[in-house]
Amino acid sequence: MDKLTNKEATFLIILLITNVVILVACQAVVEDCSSSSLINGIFVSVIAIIITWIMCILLKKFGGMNLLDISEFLGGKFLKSLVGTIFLIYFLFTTVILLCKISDALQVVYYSSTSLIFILFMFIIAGGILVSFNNKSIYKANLIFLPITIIAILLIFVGNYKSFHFSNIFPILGNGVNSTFISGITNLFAFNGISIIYFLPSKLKDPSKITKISIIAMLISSLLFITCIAIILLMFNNNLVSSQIFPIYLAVRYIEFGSFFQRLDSAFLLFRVISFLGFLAVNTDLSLDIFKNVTNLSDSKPLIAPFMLLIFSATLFIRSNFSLDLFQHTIFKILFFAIVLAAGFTILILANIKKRRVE
Amino acid sequence: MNKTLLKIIIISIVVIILLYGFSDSYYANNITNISYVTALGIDLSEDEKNLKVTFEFMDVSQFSQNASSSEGAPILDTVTANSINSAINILDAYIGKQANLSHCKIVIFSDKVAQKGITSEITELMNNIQIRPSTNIVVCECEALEYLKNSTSALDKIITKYYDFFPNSSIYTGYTSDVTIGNFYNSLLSENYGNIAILGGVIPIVESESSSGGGQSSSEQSGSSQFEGEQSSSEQSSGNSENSSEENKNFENITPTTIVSDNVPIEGERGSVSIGIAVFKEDKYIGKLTALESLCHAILTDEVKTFTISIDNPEFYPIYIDLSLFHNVDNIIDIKIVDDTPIININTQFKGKVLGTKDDNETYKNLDINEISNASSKYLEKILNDYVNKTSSEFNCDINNFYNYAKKNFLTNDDWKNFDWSSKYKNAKFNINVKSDISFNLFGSEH
Repeated sequence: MDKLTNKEATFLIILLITNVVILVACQAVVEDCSSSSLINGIFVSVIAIIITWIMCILLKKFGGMNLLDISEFLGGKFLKSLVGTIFLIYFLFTTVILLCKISDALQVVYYSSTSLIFILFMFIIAGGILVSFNNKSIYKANLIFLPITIIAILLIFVGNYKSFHFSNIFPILGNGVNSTFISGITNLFAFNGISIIYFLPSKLKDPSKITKISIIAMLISSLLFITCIAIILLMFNNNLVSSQIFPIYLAVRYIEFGSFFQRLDSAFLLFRVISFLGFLAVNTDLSLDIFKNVTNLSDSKPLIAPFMLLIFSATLFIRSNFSLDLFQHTIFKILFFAIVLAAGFTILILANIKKRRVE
Repeated sequence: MNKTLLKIIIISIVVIILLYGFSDSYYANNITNISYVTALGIDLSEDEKNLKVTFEFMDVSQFSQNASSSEGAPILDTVTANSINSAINILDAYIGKQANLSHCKIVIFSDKVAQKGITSEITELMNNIQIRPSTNIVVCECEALEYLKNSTSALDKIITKYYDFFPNSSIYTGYTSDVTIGNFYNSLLSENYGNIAILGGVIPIVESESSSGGGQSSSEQSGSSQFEGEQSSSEQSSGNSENSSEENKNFENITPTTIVSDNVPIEGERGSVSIGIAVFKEDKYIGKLTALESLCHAILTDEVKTFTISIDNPEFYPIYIDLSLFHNVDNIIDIKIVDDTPIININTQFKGKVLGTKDDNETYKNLDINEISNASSKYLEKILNDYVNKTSSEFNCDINNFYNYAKKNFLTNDDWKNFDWSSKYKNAKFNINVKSDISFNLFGSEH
């Protein structure tokens, strides 16, 4: 695979974060923190940037090695396989949750007469085709579609300005100091996309630029995260956040520029679907890459169909048997903290200590 | 097997599966299978246990190139059912198409339904993804069906245009408010605070010269052409017309302080009127605001940008005077909590022009602009004070959303909930300070 340029890598991180933010995270933040959501958003963003910076410092010592290579250095093949499997499950899990969310929204809005299976099937086929192309094409396409998503979010903010109730930020501490700053720290899961940073060095043309790439991506993502929270909080407070459809879509329905530019929600949903396909393809590609690395396969292309089938089945299983709320909030947060922060950081810190001793 | 052939087979299978899967949605959403509802009227049934839901459709064939008239004729269908959703189901079966609410511009509740509480109906509508949050909500002091029947006139050839634009008058008159179902629902969820809707009513229709020339009143015309679905509609409308001369009111004592949708000094071809505001406490309709009170509401919520007032009281100014006022600077509202009592300080300012006076002694030649400015300020302070006191003492609900400003005094949601704003609002004290800066328009500038 061709290596990624700095721009492609930056956009890749933003893509992963914005999808989680729009579909799941900003809703969760406003639900948890109510009127203090903006403070929590800023607080969480600052912590996420600090975490990213530390992560980059820890990774930098290993040059172009990704987390799997570092695990192998630390604990041999066994640890590499273990870490690979855990992250593989994590990436598939995030893909499945977001696929559930966007399929649900599409079904409610446009395809109420169509079974969810067919909507999922459409995504799976489109995602499979994207992954089967040359890997670089996904990242290059992202350079076009991500800016559209970013502009769309900023337009939603500007377009809804008249509907904002700025007093919704009061009482300033919302549900209290605990929910804003202590339990509120769990909202870090919005930045679940930082997990890709562990695997980025081996994909970069210039791995030494990882800090710059990551920090720029985090700054832009934080801005989008705070903007999304502001839109929901200032428009709905915490009234509509338990909606089945992601609230940013509901916010778009309020935008009317005169009597001509109305119903911009259709356009937004179209770009949302395209952006999500990018997310689906990137996450699947990453999962395949990890699997290939762990199993020492020479080519992962024959595995695209089984992986897509796995995502399809897992999505159907979750939708049929469980409440999505449990997965998108509680389990998502637990997995993020356990795998991305706890496991990832432990390996990096131990590997750094080992490297220092070896040197 | 040839690789290309295998690819073609797989692609064909995928296409067939997707065609099969999405065909149901295609047929359901196909324009030929959809009837677009432009307005929804909700009344109580005779036994007051069910809802009578009236759907207004546009006859889209009227808009075709070959149509002789550009006037779209609304079609009304009424269904009695337990809920709005079951009414939609029954209607779908009746018309053989799917009623689609995505172009519904207005939802009208009769006062009887509104008095019983409309949380379930509003929630039903908000849960319907087809309903736009910008759909206006009206409470009429008559049957919603009657309001719908009387909602067309020669001025608005296409009824949807009228529905689109009539709430905009709140910006330049303040006599109503552009209340949308999205905002209504948000307020409804905001824990026992006040809520408002547009107040509607029906006045007798007056025959126009052009239509009476042919021996047929405008309302009779509308009865025969507009309401194909309901025979009773034409009877109703012609009835309105016949009674119009009998019901012609004495308009002499009607001022903005008394004007409200069922009491307006208007004689026109359209029967429906939307002037005033319906006041809700929680989800129940509890009272109404007159035109002048609605203007006060619009001023305090910064909704109105320009409006006209007439000062016809020597207490404020010796002669009758008309002023055009501009409200381009947002109000400064500050709320302090003193001994559990909200002290609400409101500072508002206007620029304005003198439009005219009625004075037989020609004292307008000696008009003092400072006196007029003072008179304007005092008059506005008086009507605003009367209005806010009415909301707190009579309605006992905060329809101006002052609570948004009060929340700043509290740190957490628990503190705010414990304060219990809805019970404290009735004891609120208001300090209203109005500053008017009036100038002459075209005459009297030498003074």
